[in-house]
Amino acid sequence: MSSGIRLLRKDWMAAVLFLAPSLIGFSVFYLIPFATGLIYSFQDNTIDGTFVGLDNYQAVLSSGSFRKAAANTLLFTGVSVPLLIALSLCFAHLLNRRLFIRNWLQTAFVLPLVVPVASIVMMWQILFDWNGTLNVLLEHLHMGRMDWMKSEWSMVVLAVVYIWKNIGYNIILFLAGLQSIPKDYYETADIEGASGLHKWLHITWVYLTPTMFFVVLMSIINSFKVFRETYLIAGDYPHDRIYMLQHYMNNMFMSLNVQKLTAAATLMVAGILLFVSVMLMMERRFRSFME
Amino acid sequence: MVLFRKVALTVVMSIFALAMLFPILVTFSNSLMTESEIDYNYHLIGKMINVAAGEKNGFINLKLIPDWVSLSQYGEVLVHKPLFLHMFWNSVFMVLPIIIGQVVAASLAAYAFAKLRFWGREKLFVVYLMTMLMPFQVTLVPNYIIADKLGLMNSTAAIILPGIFSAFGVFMLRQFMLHIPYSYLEAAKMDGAGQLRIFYSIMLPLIKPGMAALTVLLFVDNWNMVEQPLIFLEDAFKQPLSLYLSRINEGARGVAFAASALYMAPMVLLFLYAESYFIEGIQLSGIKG
Amino acid sequence: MITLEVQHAGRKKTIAVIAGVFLGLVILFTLLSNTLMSLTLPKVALLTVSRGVLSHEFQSTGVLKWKAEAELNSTSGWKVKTVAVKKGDVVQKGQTLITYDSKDIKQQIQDEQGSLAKLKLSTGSLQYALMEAMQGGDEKTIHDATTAYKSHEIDIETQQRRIQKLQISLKENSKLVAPFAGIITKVNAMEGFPSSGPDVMISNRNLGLMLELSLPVLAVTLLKAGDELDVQVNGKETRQVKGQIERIQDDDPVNSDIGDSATGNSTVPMKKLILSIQDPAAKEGEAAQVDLTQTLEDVLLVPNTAIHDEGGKKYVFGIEQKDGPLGNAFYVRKVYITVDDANTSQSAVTGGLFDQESIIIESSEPLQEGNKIRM
Repeated sequence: MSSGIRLLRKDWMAAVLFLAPSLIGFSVFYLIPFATGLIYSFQDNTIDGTFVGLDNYQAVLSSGSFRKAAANTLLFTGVSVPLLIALSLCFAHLLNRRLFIRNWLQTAFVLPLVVPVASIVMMWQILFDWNGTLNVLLEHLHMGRMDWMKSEWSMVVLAVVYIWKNIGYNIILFLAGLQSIPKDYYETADIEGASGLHKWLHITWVYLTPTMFFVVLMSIINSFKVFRETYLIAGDYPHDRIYMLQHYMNNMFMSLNVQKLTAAATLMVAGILLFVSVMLMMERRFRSFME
Repeated sequence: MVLFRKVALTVVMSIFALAMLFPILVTFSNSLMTESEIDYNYHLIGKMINVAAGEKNGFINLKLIPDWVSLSQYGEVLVHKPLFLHMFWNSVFMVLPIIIGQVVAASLAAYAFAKLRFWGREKLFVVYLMTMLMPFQVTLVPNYIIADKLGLMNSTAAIILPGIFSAFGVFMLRQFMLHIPYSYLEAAKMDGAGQLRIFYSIMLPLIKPGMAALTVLLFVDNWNMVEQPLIFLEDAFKQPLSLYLSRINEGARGVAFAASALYMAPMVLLFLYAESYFIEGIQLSGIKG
Repeated sequence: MITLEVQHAGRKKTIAVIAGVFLGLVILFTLLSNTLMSLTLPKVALLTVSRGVLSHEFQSTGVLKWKAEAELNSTSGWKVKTVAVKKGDVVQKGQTLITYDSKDIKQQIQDEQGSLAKLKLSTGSLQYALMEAMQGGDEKTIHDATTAYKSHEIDIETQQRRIQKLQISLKENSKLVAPFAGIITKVNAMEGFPSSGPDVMISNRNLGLMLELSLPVLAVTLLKAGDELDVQVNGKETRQVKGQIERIQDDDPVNSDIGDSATGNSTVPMKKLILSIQDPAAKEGEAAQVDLTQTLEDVLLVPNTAIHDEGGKKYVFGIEQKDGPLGNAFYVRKVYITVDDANTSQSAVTGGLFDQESIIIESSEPLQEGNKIRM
């Protein structure tokens, strides 16, 4: 016990030393900006501002474009994240089976992850333009054209781009999860004569849950990153359907409306925090349940 | 029967894999077309055809096989567009300091988080984790103000410094270090080695694969930067290649495919070379410690 | 497992080689970028514009002529009897040149003299009648006689004057004499024919020769009457003589052959320059030539080949340098100028250009404003 305390005291000194470079930079470029942003959101001016309480939040919440952006972000995340997870889980299962050229197939699924957004913007335009390839197909099927990027369908396009890019990441995570499940669990179940669905629900799903928490978290974070694609394909003011919170914040920045921007940012962070806390709580419950 | 299922599944998966690779394949194959062929096939992008006014209705002609395989696009980009190579090196010299800086700073901090015990360790780590989740726009204004105060505006340092200190490296290397048993370090401690010595001579050799994985992931992430340079770098001469490509459709569509191919080539090559590290890095970040 | 590792290592090696080649190519192209770029640019030759002297060479030729040349005419219209001189004869003042046939007028004089004699015959009877009337007669008779006598006297006087006039005419018109010492330059008269036009041309030797030249206004602006010029006379042998400007007068403008022929109708105003040549050796009819050099001091000079025309607006191609981290780049810039004056090779210009500025005088390809170029 006494050695533990000594170790602790020694560690404290060393920890400061080891943490210092990272913590200083992290504070200057992440913590302090976030804290100042939080302060700005309660003030009426960035310079010598006075405390105005929740006025900025009220302004943001009553703003139509913020509501639209928030609703779009929620809708996009709410639909495309489960879709992505379902698809990637499905492909992870398939890739986990007996296959030829499995390594190559896996490489093909992961490769989009490393392809820079800017280099395939042109490709998306070719596919989804009014005169684009998808409309050629539609015309062949006598279904008439669709203005993909300037209609409700734009969010579908975005979901496709998002899934294309991120499916590999989730597949890798799921594959690791699947491969970590001991084979004899399945063998035992086989001997007991369990059905495929039963095996999946009671063995696969349960053992994948820790991975699942992380996959959901990463998928949500990555769903925010789809802004890059949207921005490069559709610019500052895209169709109403894909006007995301990031567009709103970006445009607030461009119009130098710091109060609204910081208030919106704080709201978004609060949302993320709420979701993450719920996730962590569930995870803890799950763990205690497992033990 | 088993073989048949295996073949069938392989075929089905191959079709999906090809669909995944489709945009990349199109980019590479179209980069071998001549500029006039590109213009002929894709000049209708973004055009509203007014049929009522007698304009001919038409479509973009997506082609995989060039009429005439030519390196003229590459020649045009590499010889006649000096800005392209300039911005290519801008990207390189923006990404390299970020990787080196972050690997150094993050491995130190990760060691503290993984192997040193101090008050508030878990809480501080959660704070690090939280910032990882924030979209860039959240801290946009304060970041802008800080960059302005430090005199970093319109300088690549405004992008490199935040890049070095992003929480991702700390997070990933900590995950990696958690897998290394205390016993390795205890032995050294018994010999009276200081923490710095333990870190340097025992931990570092052990986390080399982790650092390689981090390098690959950081390269991919930062090579792809769009928002930060858009805000912090006004001078086109300082901007990275991603912004060159985002503007190429306006003026030089004929060479867009070659420019895109050249832009993604380093990433694709790096990925194919270090695929195992890349996958290891992703999987490590997913395993809870 | 071992084969897999080997395969994997093989793949890695291949990719590493490809990556190395890629990086090598990118570095190579970066190093060569400026060189390659400039190889594809139009190559130009430059000239530094400087101030200098624009000199015009004017040359004008003419034929030496006698300064004072007189036309001698017959006033009577009589037939020519004899021609006493021929072209080139040197004559003295008063020397007979041509004699005319005066038979007709001599005849007329004799007739008139006969009439006079007749008149004189009646003088006696009229005197007698008058004396008679004075002695006896009344006043009326005296008056009539007096009147008759006086009238007769007037008739005689009139007849005498007529004869006198005819005699003078005979004396004057029967021959043409030289009004001054000179040289016969031309003889028109032919024996046996009445003269038409000037019969003889005679030049005044004492006044010397003259040369009439036509020159652009520009060439003579600094010249004034009384100035001396060198004249080159190309007779049997070429000699240099002095000529003095007598007067300068306007002449018809001529079409210009300087500048762009496409612009067409530019005319050059001309002046007529009359020189007097006082040289004993110079001969009439010899070709003479005057070389004039007109200089414009301290003007910006541009070779004519560097000047381009755009609907009458003249310009030259200058260069603009843009410095960048990728090296310096040079672009073509159009500079509009005004051509004040030009000779066959150079122009004096104003507007747009500065001393010591570089302009493009030659290019491997046709240029346009904004073109990137190499030097």
